[in-house]
Amino acid sequence: MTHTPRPTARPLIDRYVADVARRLPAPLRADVGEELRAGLLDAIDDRRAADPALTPEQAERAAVAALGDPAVLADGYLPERRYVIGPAYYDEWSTLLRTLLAIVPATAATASLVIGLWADDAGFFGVLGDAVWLGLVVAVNIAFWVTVTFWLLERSGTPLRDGEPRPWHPDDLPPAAPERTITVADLAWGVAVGAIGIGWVLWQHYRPLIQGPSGDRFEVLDPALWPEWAWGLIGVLALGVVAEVIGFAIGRWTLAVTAFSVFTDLAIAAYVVVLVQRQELVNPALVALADNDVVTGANIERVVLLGVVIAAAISIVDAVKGHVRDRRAPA
Amino acid sequence: MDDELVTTHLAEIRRGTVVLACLSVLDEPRYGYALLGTLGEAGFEVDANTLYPLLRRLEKQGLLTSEWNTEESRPRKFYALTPEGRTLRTALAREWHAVDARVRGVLKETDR
Repeated sequence: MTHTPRPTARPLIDRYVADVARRLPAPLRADVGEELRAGLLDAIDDRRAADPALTPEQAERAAVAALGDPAVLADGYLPERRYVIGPAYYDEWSTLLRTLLAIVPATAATASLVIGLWADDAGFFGVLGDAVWLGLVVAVNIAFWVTVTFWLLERSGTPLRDGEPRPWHPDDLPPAAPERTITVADLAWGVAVGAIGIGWVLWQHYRPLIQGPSGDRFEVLDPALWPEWAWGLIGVLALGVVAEVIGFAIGRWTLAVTAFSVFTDLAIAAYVVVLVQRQELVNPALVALADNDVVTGANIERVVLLGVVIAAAISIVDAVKGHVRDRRAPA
Repeated sequence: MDDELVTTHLAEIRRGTVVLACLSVLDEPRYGYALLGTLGEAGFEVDANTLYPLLRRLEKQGLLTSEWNTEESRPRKFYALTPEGRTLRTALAREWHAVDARVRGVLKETDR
């Protein structure tokens, strides 16, 4: 068969055949092109025979229109798939992507936050901004590379599992979910931690424990915090205890329980961070007393910020994990 | 009822029959456009942009052979059944009769 396209007196047909042919691999182009051209010319003859009033141009246009979108027609000839990731690979891709995106960006951001707080004096919100940005960059990279990998797997037809896939068996079912996932132990722990925190704030103010060389007693927290800021701190801690009680009352990590718990964790963390930023957390007299190369005011602030971030992160992760687990198994 | 919904389901039925229809009329070698006409006369509404790629796919599967006929002024690609194509046609026809009996049986219960 000829390999050069024969020009005809039918420019529309030429354009159509060219548009289909360019989407096809080289071996198919000439053959498919010739076949389509013959079919189109036959169609024009038939239409004009059926309706002599039709002009050649009208018949040509109708014949081409009847074949339809060149992209769709070309797709019919191609073994190539018009999707990025197909049904065989979609579930694996989706699961892997969701798992990685749930864990890695948050971990990277928290690590960046921790390292930033330890190293820099850039201020908390600068470090926080950097951490959030890092989390975003990590997330985008994960999404891209996982998708590209699966795209390659799809195109190469690589099987995902070795050997035959194991058929599902009723024993594979997960065990029944308990009605109550937030236990008395959880409540006791949460209330105890909150109570100890509040109690410590009060105790160290009214009966300071730390004794200086000259016999004075020093509070740990800055006395200037009293009364408003200190009671605000107690209030926020109390809110955390309320969250624990509500969680226990409802018994499962519902969306409301989780949201409120995360909110109180963030509120406590934010409150302490603000105090640290205003340089009003630790008793300056105490800092002056202990001042040496290691125990500086700045270092104490770093330790406090780190502690707050880590504690909040742990608590939030627990809440979210609990929510994901409980959401999968409806009561 | 939603027209598009009806069309989708009708297309499913048609899609299941077009291969058998093609194999059945290709005892005699035919070219694409003429096949379109033959199937159309037999009542099979096939689009040209479905049939042309389908013929090529069946050829790739070894069910048809093709040959360019340059005798006339307009060269045309003729398709014909291979022995494998014939075998498949018999199998499909047998299945078709079986399905027909089953569907009739089930529809009888619905007074359609």
